[in-house]
Amino acid sequence: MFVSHLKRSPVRWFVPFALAVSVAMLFLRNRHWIGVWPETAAAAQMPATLLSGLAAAAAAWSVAAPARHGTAEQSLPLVVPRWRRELPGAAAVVAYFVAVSLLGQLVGVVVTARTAPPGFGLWPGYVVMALVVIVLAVAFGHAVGKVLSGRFAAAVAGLAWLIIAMYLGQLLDLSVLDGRVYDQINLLTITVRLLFAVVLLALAILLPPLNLRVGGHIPPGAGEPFALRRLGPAAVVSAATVVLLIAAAGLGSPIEARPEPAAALCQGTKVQVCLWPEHKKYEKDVAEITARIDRLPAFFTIPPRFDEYGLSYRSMSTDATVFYTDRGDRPPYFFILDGSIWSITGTMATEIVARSLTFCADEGASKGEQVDLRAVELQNWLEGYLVGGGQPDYRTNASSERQAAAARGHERANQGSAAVQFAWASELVKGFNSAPCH
Amino acid sequence: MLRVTERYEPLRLYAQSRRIWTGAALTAVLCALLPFIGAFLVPVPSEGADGGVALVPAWRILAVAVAFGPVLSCHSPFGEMEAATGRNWRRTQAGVLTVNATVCALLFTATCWVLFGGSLAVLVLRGILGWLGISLLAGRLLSWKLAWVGPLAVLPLMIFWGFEQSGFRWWEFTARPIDDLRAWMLTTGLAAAGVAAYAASSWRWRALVSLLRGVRRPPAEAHRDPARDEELVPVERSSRLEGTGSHRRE
Repeated sequence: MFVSHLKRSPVRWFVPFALAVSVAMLFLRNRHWIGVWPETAAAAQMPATLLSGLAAAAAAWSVAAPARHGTAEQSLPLVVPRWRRELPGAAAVVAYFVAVSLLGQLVGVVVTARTAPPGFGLWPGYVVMALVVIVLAVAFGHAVGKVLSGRFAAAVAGLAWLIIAMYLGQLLDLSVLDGRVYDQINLLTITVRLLFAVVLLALAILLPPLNLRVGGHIPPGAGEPFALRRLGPAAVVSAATVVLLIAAAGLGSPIEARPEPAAALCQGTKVQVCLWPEHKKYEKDVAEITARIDRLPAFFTIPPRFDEYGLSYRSMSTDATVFYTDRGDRPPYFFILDGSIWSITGTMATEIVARSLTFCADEGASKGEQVDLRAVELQNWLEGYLVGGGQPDYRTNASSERQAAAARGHERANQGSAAVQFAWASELVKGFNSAPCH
Repeated sequence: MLRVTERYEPLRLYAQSRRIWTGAALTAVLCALLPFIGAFLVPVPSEGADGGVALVPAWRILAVAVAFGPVLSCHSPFGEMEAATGRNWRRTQAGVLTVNATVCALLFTATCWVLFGGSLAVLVLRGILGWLGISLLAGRLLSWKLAWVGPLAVLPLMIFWGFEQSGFRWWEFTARPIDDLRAWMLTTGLAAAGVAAYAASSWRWRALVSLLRGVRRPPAEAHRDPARDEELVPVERSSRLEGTGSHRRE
C-alpha cells in the first residue's frame, strides 16, 4: 500500500520544485556556512520549515482523497480499519518531504566535506530538527483534512501551518536560522521531540473524521455535515494532543550551550586569538590578524588573549546549561557574524582602543565632541588596518558625524604604508590623551 | 438535493451543485480574525535581513487566502463534461468567479482599512490582486482545485528572498511602498496574466495552436468558430489542459 501511495501521490510532482528551492536556499544566500558543520546542517535544515506549509497541504489533500473521488461511502463497509487506510497516504507525504530534506542535507554535506573540517558530530541534530518540522506539518495537515472538507482543507492547512511553524519556530526553537558554533542540538531532546511528533501524527490518523463528507456517511448536500456523536472520541484525541504538546514544551529547547572544547584553535605571539575548532576555515584570516597585531607600535595596549564567543564566556542564559554568567576577568570575546572578518576586528579594535586611550575618570566628564570623534576615527582605522584594508561589510545606525568619522578611519587604513599610518595614530593618541576633561 | 426544474437556470444549477461561497466564508473568518492577529508580526527566515529574521505582519500572509478562495470556486465537480455544456455555463463560471473575487477582496480590504488605515488597505488590495493572478495561473496549469498550490509555493520564496538590507526587492509586490510604480506594474501584469490564463480555455487554446500552425479548417466547417461553438469541442482533446479528470490523478 505504501509503495503504491508513493507511486501515485501527487507530491511526486512537487519534488523537483522543492529540491530546486532547497538548493537555491543553500546557495543564493550568504555562503559562510560552507566549511563549518553546524552551519551547513542548519542551512540545509531551513528549507524544511519554509516548505512545510506545502507538506501540511499535501497531507490534508491526501486524507480528503476518498471524498474528492466520491469513494468515501464505498469504503465504509471495508474490513480494513480506517487508520490502516490513512497511514500509507500520510507516510508517503512524510517520505517525500523527508527525502527532499535529506537530499538538501546531502548537497550541503558534499560541499562542506571537501575541506574536511572537524565537528561532524554537530550535524545530525539539525537533520532531526528538520524531520520534526515535517512530521508535525503532516500531522497538522492530516487533522485539518479531517475537520474541513476537500480543496479548502489543503489550502487552509498549508497557510495556517506556515504561520504556526514560523511563529513556533522562534518561540519553541522548532527550527533554527543558523547553526551557531557555540550552540549544539541535544540529540536526546530532539529525538524525544521527533517521537512526540510521530505520536501526534498517529493521533491525527486516529482522529475520527468530523466532516462526514470525508467520513463518507452522507452524500454532499444532504443533512448536517458534522456528527455530534463523533465529538467524544475527537475530544479524547484533542486532549491527548494538548497533553503531548505541553509535555513537549516542558522538555525545553533542544538548543543548548556547548561545553568548552578540549583544545581551542589558538594562535599568535603577542596576543593569543582562539577559535572554536569547527571554525578552522577562519584560521588563516586570524593568523593574518594576529600578525598585524604583533606589528602594532608599543603605545597600543593589547589584551593578552581574545576568545571567540562561547569559548570562555557566554552572556545569554537561554537555558540551564549556560556555564559562565559572570564576566569576571575573562578575555574579551568576539563573534564571527555571517562569516565576516570585520566582526572579529571590530571587537578587537574597540577593546584595544579602550585600553590604549586615557578617558576621563570622572563621572559625566568628557573631552568634547570633536575629541571623541577622533577616538571613533582611530578605532575604525584600527579595525580596517587589522582586516588589511578595504571597505567594511556592515552598516551602522550611528549619527552622521560618527559615521563620517568612521568612514575617515576606514579610508585612513587604505592610505599609505603601515609606518605612515602608525605615525598618524601616534599623533592622534597623543592629542587625545592630552586633551583636557571638562 | 438537486431539484429538477422546467426552467433553465444555469446560475441556480451551478450554485446548487457546488459550494461557491466557501471562499467568501473563509474571507469572512479571516476578517473576523484580523483585529486579533492582523497586526501580529510573524518572524520569518529571510536571506537579506539582519540576523536572518524578518518580521512579516500577518495580514500580508492572510491576504493569500483571500485570493485563492474565489479561484477554487471554478472547480467543477462534474469534471470535463461540464465544460461541454455551453456558453451559459462558461458565463456563469466567470460571473461567479468575478463576484466572488470582488466580494472577497473588498471585504478584506475594507476590514484592513478600518483596522489599519487607508494606505495599508491599498497595499493589501495590491497584494490580493497579485495573488489572484498567481492563483489563476496555477489553477489553469494544474487544474482549478489545485489553484492554491501557486500562492503557497511562491509565498516561501517571497518570504525568503523578498527582503534585503535596503528594503524590499522590486518584485515583492505585497510589501513595496504604495507609490512604487514597478510593484504596481508587476501586480497588474500578474493579474492580467491570470485573466488571460482563465480566458485561455482548452478550445481557445486549440484554436490558437491551429492558427499558429497554419491549419485551415475544412470548408464544410468553415462557418463554425470554435471559440463560440463550445458544445462541439471533443471532450478528450481538452482534458490535458483542463486537467479536471480527477479520478485519474493521484
